[in-house]
Amino acid sequence: MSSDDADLFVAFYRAEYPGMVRLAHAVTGSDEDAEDIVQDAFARLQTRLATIDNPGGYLRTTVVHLCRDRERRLGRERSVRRLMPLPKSLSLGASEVFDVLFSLPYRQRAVLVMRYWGDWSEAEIAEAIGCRPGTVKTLASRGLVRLKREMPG
Amino acid sequence: MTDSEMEVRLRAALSELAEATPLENPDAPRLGGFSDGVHCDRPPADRAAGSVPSISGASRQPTGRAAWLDIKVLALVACVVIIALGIFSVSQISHGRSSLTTHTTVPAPFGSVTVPDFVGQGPLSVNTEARNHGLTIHVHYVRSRKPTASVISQAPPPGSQVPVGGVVTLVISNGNAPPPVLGATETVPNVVGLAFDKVLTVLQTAGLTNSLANLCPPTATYVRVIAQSPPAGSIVPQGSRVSITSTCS
Repeated sequence: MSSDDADLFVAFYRAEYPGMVRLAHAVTGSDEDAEDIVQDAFARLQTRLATIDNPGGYLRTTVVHLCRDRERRLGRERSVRRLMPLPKSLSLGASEVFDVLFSLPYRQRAVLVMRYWGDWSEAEIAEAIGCRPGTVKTLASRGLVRLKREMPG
Repeated sequence: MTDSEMEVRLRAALSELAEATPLENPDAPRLGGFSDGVHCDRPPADRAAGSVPSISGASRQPTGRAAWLDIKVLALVACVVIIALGIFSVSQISHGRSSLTTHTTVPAPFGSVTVPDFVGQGPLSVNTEARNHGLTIHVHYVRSRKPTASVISQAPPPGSQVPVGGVVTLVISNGNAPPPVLGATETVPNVVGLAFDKVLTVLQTAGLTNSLANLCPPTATYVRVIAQSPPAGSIVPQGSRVSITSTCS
């Protein structure tokens, strides 16, 4: 990696790190895993940054894919899975939302987070989770329906 | 519960979680293997004032043996400068004129530097110039059509005098903005009351550029915006310039 690439990477890292950790935290429910996932994503990007047209999009996609990989791994290791504690500072209303959100299938949950926290476009979400924009609409709609149905009150 | 109520509740919960997400210092990547380029040290008082955005460079304060070595090096440099000035003055006086009267321009105040023009530069040249001038660089990323990682705008403007170690805020393109639309207009956002180093990002995100209506003295820094022109809510062509007036510290 040249010095120019390294400087670009450092600037990119500083700009994108906080948002990516928050995204991964909201998708996975684990702040520890979120940081590991984002570090892993940056490590994958590190040597390729200068050759990628849209590094922000590439990073988002990588983070979302790594969250999915974690989900699959946890699925295989369900016997040792533990419930991730939510931050104690969350209000009761927010905790209720996350109790249901984290029980949703991975793609529905990821779409809801990207759409309602990240305000990403359907095209950006579709690129990140590898589906058509129409599927994003369907996943978001089903996720919302299930949230409404299972939320208390 | 309606769809929109659920959406509002979900947004609020996600915002709460984002606020509560503990973040390691993003300035300290664990990956290693690259140089930490986009910052220089800045004084502790500056950090304590909280004027620095979270994505800016962290300061490294020398400690213990390193700090002692730094003091010795500084003392040595100061001695050399004093001796050189003494020799220069004696030589001028021996030629029958005062060294003070030979200056044709007023030198910059001691401890201040002239801000170079960073606009259009890439990260490498920004780092080199910042180090050469003893400046602290704060970086903001925005969506832009300019080449990725190039500097779009800066504050204070080129030619300004700032203290050694002073902060220059750069807005850098992440190169993924949508293509330009001919005849597009933008609504001017309200920037009055914002911290100075946030204004560039706000304007750039809104598709506008900035200009400074006032210049702070060389030893002061820009703090908060107290006036803007055109006013918030105005409809202007994309890329228009918004003139801002800032208080000085």
